[in-house]
Amino acid sequence: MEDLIETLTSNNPTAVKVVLASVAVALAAYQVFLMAVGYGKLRLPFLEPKPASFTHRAVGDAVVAVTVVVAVMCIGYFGFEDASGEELRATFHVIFALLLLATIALKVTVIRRWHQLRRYLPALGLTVFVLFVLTWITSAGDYLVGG
Amino acid sequence: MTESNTFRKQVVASLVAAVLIVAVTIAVVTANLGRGLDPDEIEERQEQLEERREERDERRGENRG
Repeated sequence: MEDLIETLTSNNPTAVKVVLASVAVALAAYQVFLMAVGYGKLRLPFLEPKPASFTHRAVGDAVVAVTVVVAVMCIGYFGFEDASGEELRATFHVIFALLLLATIALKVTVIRRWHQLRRYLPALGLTVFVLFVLTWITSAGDYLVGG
Repeated sequence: MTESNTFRKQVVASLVAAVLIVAVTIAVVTANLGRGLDPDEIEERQEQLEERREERDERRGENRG
C-alpha cells in the first residue's frame, strides 16, 4: 500500500494529501454556500434554490470521493500511530477525521434511506463542514504554516 | 427563455464555479507548500521521509527473514 501511494504521488504523499485535503475543504465551504441558497437563506439574482441544491448533490459526490482518497492515503501511508513527535495534534486530527467520516456516512444514509431524519440535514451539513475545517487545521493547515 | 433552460444554465454555471474553486485552491496551496519553512525544516521533513522508507524496508526484511 505504501509503495502504491508513493508511486501514485511521485514520492510526495504529504504534499498531494495537503492539496487534496485543501480542495475538499474549499469545496465544503462552497457546499455551505450552495445550501444557504438551496434553503432560501441567501437569495441571489443569478442562482435559484433548485439548481443550487442540484449542484450541491453533484459537488457533494465529488467531495466524498476526494475525502475517501485522502483518508485511504492517510491511513494507508501514515497509519494511526505515526505522530512524528506531535502526539496531541495528531490525536486531534485522527479524532476529527474519524468523526468526519462517520458524520458523512450518517448524512448520506439520511439522504438516501433514513428520510424521517431529513429535518436534521442542515445541522449534519454544518457539522460536516466544521469537522472538515478542524481536520484540515490539525493536518494540512499545520503543514502549510510549517508547524 | 424556458424554466428548464434557466435551470440548466445555473447548474452549469455553479459547476464551473466549483471547478474554478478547485483550480484556485490547487494553485494557491501548491504555491504555498513549504513557504513558511526555513531550509533546516525542509531538510528535517526530507529526513523524516527517508527514515520512514528505511524503517519500512527493514520491516520487510524482517518479515522475509
